[in-house]
Amino acid sequence: MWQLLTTALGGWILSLLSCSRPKTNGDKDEFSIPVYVDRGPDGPATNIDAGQFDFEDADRVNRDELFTSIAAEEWNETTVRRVLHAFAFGGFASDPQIVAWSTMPPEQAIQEILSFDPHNVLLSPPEKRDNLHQISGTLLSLSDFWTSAAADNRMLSRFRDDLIRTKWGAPPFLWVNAVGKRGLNPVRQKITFWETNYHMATNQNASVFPHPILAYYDAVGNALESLAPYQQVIAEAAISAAVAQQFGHVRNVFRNGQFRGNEDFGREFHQLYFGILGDYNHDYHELTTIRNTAKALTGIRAPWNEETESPEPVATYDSDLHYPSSLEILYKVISGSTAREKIYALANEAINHPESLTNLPVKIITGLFDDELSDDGKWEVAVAWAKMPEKKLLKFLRSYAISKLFHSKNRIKYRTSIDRNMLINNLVTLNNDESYQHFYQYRWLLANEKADAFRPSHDVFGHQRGIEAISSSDIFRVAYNRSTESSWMYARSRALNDAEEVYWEKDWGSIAPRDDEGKFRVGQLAEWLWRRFVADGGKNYGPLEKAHMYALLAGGQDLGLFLDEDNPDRIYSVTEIESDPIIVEKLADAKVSLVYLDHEESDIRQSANARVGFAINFVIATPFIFIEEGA
Amino acid sequence: MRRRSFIKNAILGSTLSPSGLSASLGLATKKAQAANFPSHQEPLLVNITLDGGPDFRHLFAPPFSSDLSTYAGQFWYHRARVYGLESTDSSGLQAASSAKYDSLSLGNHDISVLKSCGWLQDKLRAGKCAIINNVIGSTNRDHPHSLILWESGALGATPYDFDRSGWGGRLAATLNEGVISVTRRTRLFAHSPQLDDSSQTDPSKGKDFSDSRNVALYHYHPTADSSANEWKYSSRAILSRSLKSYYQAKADEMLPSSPFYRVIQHEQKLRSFGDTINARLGSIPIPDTLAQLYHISDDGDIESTLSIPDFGRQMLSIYDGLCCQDILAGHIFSADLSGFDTHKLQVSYLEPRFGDLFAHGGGLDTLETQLRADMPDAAAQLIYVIGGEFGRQLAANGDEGTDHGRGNSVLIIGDQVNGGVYGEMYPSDEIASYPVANSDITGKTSTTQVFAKICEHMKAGSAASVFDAYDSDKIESVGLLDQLFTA
Repeated sequence: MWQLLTTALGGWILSLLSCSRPKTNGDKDEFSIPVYVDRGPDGPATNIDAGQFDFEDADRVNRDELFTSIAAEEWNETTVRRVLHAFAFGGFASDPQIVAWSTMPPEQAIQEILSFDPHNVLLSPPEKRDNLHQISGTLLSLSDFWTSAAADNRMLSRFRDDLIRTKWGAPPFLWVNAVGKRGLNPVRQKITFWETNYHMATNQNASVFPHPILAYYDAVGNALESLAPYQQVIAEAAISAAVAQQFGHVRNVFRNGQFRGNEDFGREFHQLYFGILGDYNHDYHELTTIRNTAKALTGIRAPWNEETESPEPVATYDSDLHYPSSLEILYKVISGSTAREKIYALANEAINHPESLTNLPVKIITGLFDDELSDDGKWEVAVAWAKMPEKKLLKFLRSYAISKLFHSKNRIKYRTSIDRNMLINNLVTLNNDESYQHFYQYRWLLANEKADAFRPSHDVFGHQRGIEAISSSDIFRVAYNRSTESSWMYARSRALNDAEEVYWEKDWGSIAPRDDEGKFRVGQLAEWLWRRFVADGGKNYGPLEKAHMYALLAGGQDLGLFLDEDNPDRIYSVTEIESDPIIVEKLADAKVSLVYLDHEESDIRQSANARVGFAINFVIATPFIFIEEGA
Repeated sequence: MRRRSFIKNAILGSTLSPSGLSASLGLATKKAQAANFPSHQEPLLVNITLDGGPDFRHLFAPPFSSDLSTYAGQFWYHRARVYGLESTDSSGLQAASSAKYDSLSLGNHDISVLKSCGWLQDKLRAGKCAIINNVIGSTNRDHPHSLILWESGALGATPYDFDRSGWGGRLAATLNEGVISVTRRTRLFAHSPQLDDSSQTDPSKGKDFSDSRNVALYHYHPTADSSANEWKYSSRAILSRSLKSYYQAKADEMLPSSPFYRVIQHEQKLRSFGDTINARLGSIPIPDTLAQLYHISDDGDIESTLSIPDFGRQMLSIYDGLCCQDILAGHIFSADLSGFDTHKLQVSYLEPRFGDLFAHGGGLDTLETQLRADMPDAAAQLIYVIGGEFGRQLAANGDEGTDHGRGNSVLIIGDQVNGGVYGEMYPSDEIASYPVANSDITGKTSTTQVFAKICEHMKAGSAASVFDAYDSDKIESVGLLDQLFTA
């Protein structure tokens, strides 16, 4: 079916109709999809028909929801964690909250989990000691707060200069801070990041200045938060100063009856932002749509500001330098006296273009959640998108997050360096104190994997892809060596100040599960850590993983040392672990042994917390942290 | 003037070879011992993808003319804005031509080449650079899709089909080896053929060699620690033993069809060659000439004489890869250089990148010079294939740049190349196209025809298994590429 949809786009009209039943009536079993009738570049400018598109395989389409939801009985703690990992870099919800969501109907729970608001008190509970939940949540507002002298500003003074909005290091540093703070909504950061670093990327490496990039990120985030139709989110991005600087159309002008500028964004507005490649009519697309879109972009101004030594972060729209007349684009007449007006008008047309309807939703889902989406899956995604008369990204994502498609065993997401590192960071950080201290150095970790935020590796075509991350043995090497050579980072259980006094202690006991006696035991703790970091319902938590984690948690030793001090380099197979009676007994003892996370003696307590750090180092270097599965 | 700037200016402004420059700067060339280098007796390939659609017409402009009935006249008239001039400013254009370009005769072809590309000029004069013109792999002007087509050599590949094999990977498979990637991200060119079959995992023998001086997995060295019990208690020792043991056992347990098996393979590859590579390169200091292309200072700053330091890093990785070629067991390298999507201010963006590639003291010159000194057999076997996903439009746009086109040239450089011009350099039918909006270079020779010749050079009989039915793909004239390589 997907092949039909995509390959059809040259002579698409016949193919679309061939996979549809004839229109019969307007009942709810059918929904509309606008259909362009290609009459060539010489055809009339308004030749758009509103066709109707229903599907011969009606059983596959649930008319009442965008995607087919998983059954309520399939919705459980694991599925909730899976959503949190995929949509919220793990989020900060407590275990009881996760259990509470798992007992709700999925449609209700997902409303609470996924939003674009700056704050979500259930997903990211605010901390009493700071007031992040009272700040608007934009990166610029966070920059203002974290560089201020406010009494409740807990950002360490040595980091504050790096967060000044005009500093080149500010956008990535502000972003990783925003993702990692309780009180701020990581879902908003995740989706806005994808929009501004993948889908509609701007790039500091292409000399787009920090302040405009921050303003751009915030404009997109605010547009998402407003729940505006998706094309308006795209339009807001398209007319931003950062995008105009990135593509150079900030210099596009219409003066003395002549257009001066480039066509770069005239093309990419359609291709990258809406998924319109021009297959509907390549000549028309090249000669009319792209060229006229370049003219529609004339008069966007973001002049240099001597005072801030930066281009203005927010564009203005000069009608005197703008193409004065209406323009034909996508066979439609696009009117407006400024670039802003024309681009908004154009976006309203582009969102319903057949190529956009098939490509854009697939781009969203494959970009964010599924690297192995099948042709049938693409079809399902396109259908879900088409079902929305008004395209609302949040509605679409909420439906997808509880869909059979998302929770399918066929779904594979190769985690990018950014996804993996921010997930680990959020799950290993227990409170904002630790985050403000930057104990886990996530800014450095991303740079080490060549994945700095706002410096997308493919420039306007987006940042590191999952398939690239999983294909790179160098990224694996960096991650592996972090868990070995730099294992101290997660194993560290206290910090001393200059006077050699302990000013911070790791406290896994504050959130780890206790047994019926109120004690922490290795088996329970190991399984909990696996669930927390891998979220696979234990699918990949086998005898080998258990054996290694038990040794690390029970003895603070690797399995080889734990089982035979005289031969620590010996490799133990699954068969041996499961059948050798001595090993079986030793591991059984280890499983029920205590971990003194709340011991009154500091050294014992810290040693226990260090062992949890050992186990985390182990988990995050296994294959299962690099790939997210749907089930 | 900072040292880095000084070096950069000294190199790019001089005609000195890198080795001569080292001497002039008083830098001692650390000549490695010949005994450390493996022998190279088989063809070697370095594929350099120029991301963005390189404007080779800017590199190889026709000698200036103001006669609008000629190709050169149309070129300079319609390209004036690229040089910041008006079309009618003949004297300005002529001056720009003289200032920027040197004239060359290649057989019957008079061309001009950017002055800043001295190494390339040397290769052209020596007959060791082939310019293959009017090549086409993509009929659209979409970067990602066209890159897929360029790097896969599969003309039917669809948009967003990033997870498929590359022609380099398929060629490597015919040699029973993998591609050695020196890029920061493994490019599609290097993807192995197994990716095309979703029922298989990727047993590619390809190597990610982007950080060539740091390729090993960490493992604990007991002798390096002063504390007798460190091996018991250090987290490094514990975790490195734990994960080594785990991965070794897991490799026996996990099905190769599992998606997670890719990670297992990384561990196995790095474990198998990492230490050996480190040991080899530990005995070969980074040559000063290459260190000038890419060097991390003590305070963590990257210093380079190139405009794109990462290209310098790749040159070092190729050098290191050739030092370790017997360990890596690969003959094909994948490299890249980005920033060729020159819609705006083309001169300021494009010419430095061409300089990084082709200047005296640029990336390729420096690499070659060092190879001739240390591994002359490798230098003699190497061919460079240089091109991008599409060409650009014939005429300049209004932003001192050029917009997307389709057809383009491909450069092949090496001792074993019969240099010269293949295909019409400045097609006469383009003369009438210059004033027509959106006109571009007409594609007359398929990329597959070019790549197939390279495959045959690397291994006779390999082309047919790398490209399906390439024989029927278009070519500008029958037999055009038959003599591309020396026997």
